[in-house]
Amino acid sequence: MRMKFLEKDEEDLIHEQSLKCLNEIGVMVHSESVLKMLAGAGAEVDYKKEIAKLPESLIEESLRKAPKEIRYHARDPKHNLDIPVDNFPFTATNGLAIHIPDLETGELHASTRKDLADFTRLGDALDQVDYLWTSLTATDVPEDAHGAHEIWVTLQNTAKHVEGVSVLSGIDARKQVELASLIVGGKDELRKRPIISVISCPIAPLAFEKGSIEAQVEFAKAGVPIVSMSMSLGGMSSPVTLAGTITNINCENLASLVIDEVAAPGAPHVYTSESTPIDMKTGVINYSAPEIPLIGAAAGQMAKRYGLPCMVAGWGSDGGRKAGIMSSFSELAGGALSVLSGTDLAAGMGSIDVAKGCSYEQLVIDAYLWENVRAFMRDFTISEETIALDIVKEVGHGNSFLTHPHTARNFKKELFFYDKKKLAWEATLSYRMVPKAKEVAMRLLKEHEVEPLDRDIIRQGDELLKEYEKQLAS
Amino acid sequence: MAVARLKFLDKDEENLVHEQSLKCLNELGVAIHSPSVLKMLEDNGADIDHKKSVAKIPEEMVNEALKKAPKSIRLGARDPKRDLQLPVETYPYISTGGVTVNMHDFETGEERDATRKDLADFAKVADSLDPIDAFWPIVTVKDVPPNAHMVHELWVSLQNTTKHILGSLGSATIGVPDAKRQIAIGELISGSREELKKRPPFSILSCIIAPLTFEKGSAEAQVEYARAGVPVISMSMSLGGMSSPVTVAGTILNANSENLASLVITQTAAPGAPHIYSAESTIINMKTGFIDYMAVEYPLISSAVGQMAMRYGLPKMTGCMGIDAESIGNPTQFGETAASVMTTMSGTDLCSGAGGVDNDRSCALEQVVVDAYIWEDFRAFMREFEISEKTFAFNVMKEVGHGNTFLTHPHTMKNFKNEIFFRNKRMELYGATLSNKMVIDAKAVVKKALKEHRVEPIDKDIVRKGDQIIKEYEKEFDI
Repeated sequence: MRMKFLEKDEEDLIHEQSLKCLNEIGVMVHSESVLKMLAGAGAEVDYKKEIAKLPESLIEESLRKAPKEIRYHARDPKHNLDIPVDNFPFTATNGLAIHIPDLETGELHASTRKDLADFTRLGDALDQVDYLWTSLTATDVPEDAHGAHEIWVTLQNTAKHVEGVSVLSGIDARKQVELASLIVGGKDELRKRPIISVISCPIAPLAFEKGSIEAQVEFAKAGVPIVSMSMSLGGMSSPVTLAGTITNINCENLASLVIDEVAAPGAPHVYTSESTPIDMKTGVINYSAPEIPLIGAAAGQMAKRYGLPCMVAGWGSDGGRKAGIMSSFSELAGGALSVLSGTDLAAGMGSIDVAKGCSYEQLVIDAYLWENVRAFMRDFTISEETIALDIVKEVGHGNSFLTHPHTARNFKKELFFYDKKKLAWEATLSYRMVPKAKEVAMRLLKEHEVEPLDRDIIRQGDELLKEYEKQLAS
Repeated sequence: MAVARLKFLDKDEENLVHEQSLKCLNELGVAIHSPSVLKMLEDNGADIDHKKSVAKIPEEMVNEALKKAPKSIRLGARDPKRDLQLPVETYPYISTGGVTVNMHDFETGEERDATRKDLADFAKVADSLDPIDAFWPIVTVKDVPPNAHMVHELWVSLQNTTKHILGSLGSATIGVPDAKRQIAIGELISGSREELKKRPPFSILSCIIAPLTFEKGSAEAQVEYARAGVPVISMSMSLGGMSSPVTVAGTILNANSENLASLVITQTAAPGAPHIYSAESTIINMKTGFIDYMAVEYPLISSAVGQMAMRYGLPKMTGCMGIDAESIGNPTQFGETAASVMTTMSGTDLCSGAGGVDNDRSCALEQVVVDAYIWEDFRAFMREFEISEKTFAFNVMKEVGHGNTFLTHPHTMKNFKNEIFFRNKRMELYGATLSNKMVIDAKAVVKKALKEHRVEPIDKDIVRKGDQIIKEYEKEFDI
């Protein structure tokens, strides 16, 4: 099942409008090197204003070069993820939170490498988590090096795919690539088996910061999939109209795609959006706005039109300062509807405090909720065989199928059975499931082991980081 | 306009369902236990086996019916401002659930039989709630002769709400006489047969016995209603694993076939008769054998039948809106609530179910309020949005410029109320699942409505005439 929002001609209109926007308004790119690169590919560049206007031909060419299928690799190949999906999306944890409540005491503290290691390990233990974002900021390391530390710690504590959330600079990107290459056996191997991907956000509307865009180019050249997240906040960084927001998302994604495909033709690229209208009372991003699934569905439709892998939804029930399901039914339903947008990926599990925090209990709660929500997206065969007219004939008018062997033979395949225990957790506007979630988290953290990296590799990585810190200090 | 809809089948799967339905109707046919309806179909091209009471319907008859069926219809209401125009552009209309066996007493909470006064109270409360658009007589009234209960329910409902009424087919044994009386009452309200046809104050839910079977009383009553211009809602209750194959495809196919067959009946009886494609089809709970409206497969099936109805251009009722769980409030878990509520996104024009408890076996006044308020929030997902040059706001984008903010631009101030939905914080507690915390508030809403809400009464003369029609009916059939 999928949610649809735009009509076909509305999709066309958004595409045309995006081309117009990129051609007439263009994007602002605060990087001379990237502007030069775009100019070389046919963009009209104003170096003084730092604006690149992109012609339709360049966009069409980039769409042609972009791979339609990509694979997120993992240290353990059984956790490889093939994108696009046929049924429900792959899910990941929250990213780059800055604090976390202690699992024993509940006390909130600024996150450290150890917290990141533990939280990642919990994500690795939970079946419902398919890949890991670098979930917490390492505040106990030199600030400039935090991205590199986070990717290193995360890679050690999960055998699943890792998606970094830090794009600080070209140099930093190269460091992250080096670290990941250590694990797979070299840069060429990493290009073939990217065990990391990276989130890179434009500054809406239509602007790219120096550090992030130069990092993005480095990653693209290394074959690391770019997840180019447009955060178009209606009423703030995009027009308050849904049409305006959707168009901005589309423009930023197309522009970002062009940058990747010019830097490295064939670079894996994920069309991405985490866009909401702002809360009109506080000006803050509003993760429970009813418009979110509509924007997500529209973004998903545009991505599908282009044949691009996409991430246009999040998953998680972040309700406030502590773990629990503080959303009301319709707020959580909005989240469920968002993942029905045709998205291939959805991240956000375990987040609290509007993504500023992570919580072990919340990760378990979000994982268990997910198990039931994703069931709506199983795929079914609609064929002559499953329509089973011959069985209908055998049963006859007004009779029952209950005793026909067809029912007994097929019901397990066809129907979904709720895990009643997990179902009992799904109380909205409630904290009642938190103690049980805590038990599960504690047990998993105690028992679960992640295949460690080779000692040698760990040493090399640690040294790499030390040298990098020295480099940054000078 | 852009509106959110849930889609399950892709285009060639829709085609397959249609072809297989034609095959089903042509080769298997439908059982119709009414010689007169069989004859009517035979005279119009169906291949009848009189001994088995089976009508095999050829493709031409189906196509003919689809051509004749009106694509848009109006459900009238005593208060013309409350008329409902189908199809909808945004979210569906909703009604209460219907004809439950008993009710929960408002004071004691105990389950008991309902009287006409109880039904009147339900109608009044539904009349007072904005999110509710139509009223299906929610509970069976027991202080009347059992065989006349449908007519009484229609009559009581019409007097206590000015919204459109969803009626039900009468007793299976005296289908046609019952239908004639309900129609007579409808004509009383409308003023004439012609007026009733233009703005029918009630429509009729006609359930089919899956798989593929029409009872005598219902089939004949349906014909009667079609001829009178009362919209027929042909509700397929195909229950996967019980009355249709356990496969989701098989259940969809059955629901579609039954609807097409029912459409053929109404269009043959009265070409152009208003007809609403309907299904409340799901799977059975494989442990208990009971109908399972919380099943994950329910919204998938609803989306599929909604798509089929849209393909045919027919007005449709392919979703439900009501928690309908084992106790008042929302004792269901999030996923279960979501499963049934998501059926409202199937593209359906109409949904029923508000106020039901325990799979529509019972009902409660508070529950009508709970369901209405949950709906008010949820339907916001189905608002329509303009996607056009105007709303793209290209010039505004140019004015704001790269990396800047729209917050201070007048465009935002001018437009945000149109685009963004603001939830009523006060109603948040209605969004609690696994909870009855909202029931106290709901009770207060009910009390206030019963005390203060006023429904425009029907003219005394007409009330007398209606009472008379029913009295004579009861006498004539010794009911």
